[in-house]
Amino acid sequence: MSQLEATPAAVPPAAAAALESYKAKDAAKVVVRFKSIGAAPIMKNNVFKVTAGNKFQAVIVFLRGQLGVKAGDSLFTYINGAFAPTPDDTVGNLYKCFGTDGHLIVNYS
Amino acid sequence: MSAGSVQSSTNLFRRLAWNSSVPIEVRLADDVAGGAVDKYYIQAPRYTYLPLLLQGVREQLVDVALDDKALADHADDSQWWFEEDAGEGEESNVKFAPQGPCKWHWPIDLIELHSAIARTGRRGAEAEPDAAPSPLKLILHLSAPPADKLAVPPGIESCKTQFVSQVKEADFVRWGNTKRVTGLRRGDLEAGWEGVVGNDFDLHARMASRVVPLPIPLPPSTQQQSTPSGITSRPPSAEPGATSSREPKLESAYAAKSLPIKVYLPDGAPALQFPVPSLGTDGRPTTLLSLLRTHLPLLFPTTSEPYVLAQPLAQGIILPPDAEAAWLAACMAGADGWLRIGIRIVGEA
Repeated sequence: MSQLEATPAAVPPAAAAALESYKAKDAAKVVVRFKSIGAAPIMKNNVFKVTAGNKFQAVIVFLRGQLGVKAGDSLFTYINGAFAPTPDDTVGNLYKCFGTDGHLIVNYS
Repeated sequence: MSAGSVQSSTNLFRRLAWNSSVPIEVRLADDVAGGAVDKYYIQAPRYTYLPLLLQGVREQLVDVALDDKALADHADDSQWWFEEDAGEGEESNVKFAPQGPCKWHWPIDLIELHSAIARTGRRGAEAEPDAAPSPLKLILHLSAPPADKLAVPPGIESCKTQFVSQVKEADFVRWGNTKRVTGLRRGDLEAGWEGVVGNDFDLHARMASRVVPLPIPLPPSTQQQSTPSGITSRPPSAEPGATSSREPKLESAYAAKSLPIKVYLPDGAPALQFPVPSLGTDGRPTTLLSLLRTHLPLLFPTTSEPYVLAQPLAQGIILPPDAEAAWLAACMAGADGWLRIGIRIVGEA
């Protein structure tokens, strides 16, 4: 084919700048309200501010620490009592899509 | 268009998406002492998952390549993991950070999508797609899995759990509750995953047809008399279909609150998920281009040419700018009901 196609296409500066801007971690805070389900222990303080750019995985790790869940024990988390998000969703995305009254409600059992 | 014809055309596109596949080349990591056999090729469906391919990889590659001692050392496949072999040099055209370890709970489509958007695309490529796609190259490691990067534990069961969770989340996005999924008969819900495992479109459709709404145009008030079954007492959204005795309700994707769409960017930028109303404030269907211009204005500036800096990919193709988001979500979603769009940067010649 032509020589043009053999030349690897560079990233245009405008696209590179756009990506840099989208890569910046969202530093806004999301208010997360934890609610226990069933026999799960209730937290004394159940409202926390979490950085929007954090993965939901970080919320799970934090909650395990707060509840003192042992390494081998299971902890299930749900948004709005309805579904379990994937650990690689960001807290900000979850809040944008599923936030209620300024909170992201995370149920646990 | 009547609900019946929408249903048959939707099924056609769903089947086309289901039948699309990715050529994959798997090689053993350099630290594994292999014999003469060092590569394994699969043509994998886009909807499937790595844990479901593991058995074939074991039989066709690992068992053949390793000697008895090495096999005994690495028999435990919970220690195995895949990494994308992004390649080096100009030939590979890789411009951005590769995805690294491949997540167990991502469909092959999403792994391939990350590989595609790490490269630049050709301007105008939507008019003339690449003739022969090069295979997705994966490296199989047999030890020391990076658990934090894989996010989800290995194994088919945990993959299935994630799949069902995603089906529920998509339902919640559409309607604000998960009643359509939790109300499924157990057999129909199981059929969703079993269809993926058994590569069976019709089996999977037992779940999908009850959960993923059809792109039936709104408003319904004018269409009642044109429906094929001639029932006028019910709106189309409550009308039974015509092909089986236990038909799901036909709901319109345009009536959904929001659409289950995730947008992936290159270079490790976080994925985006945001509410996507099926219809805009003017009552017209949300188009892909309007969605991209709203949420990624820097990559999709308002110019006469829609894809100047970047182009949206899904299921291995560049999506047309005027495609309606509700139609795409209904016809080109993955097996779990999520439409995954990757943004590929258009390279400068």
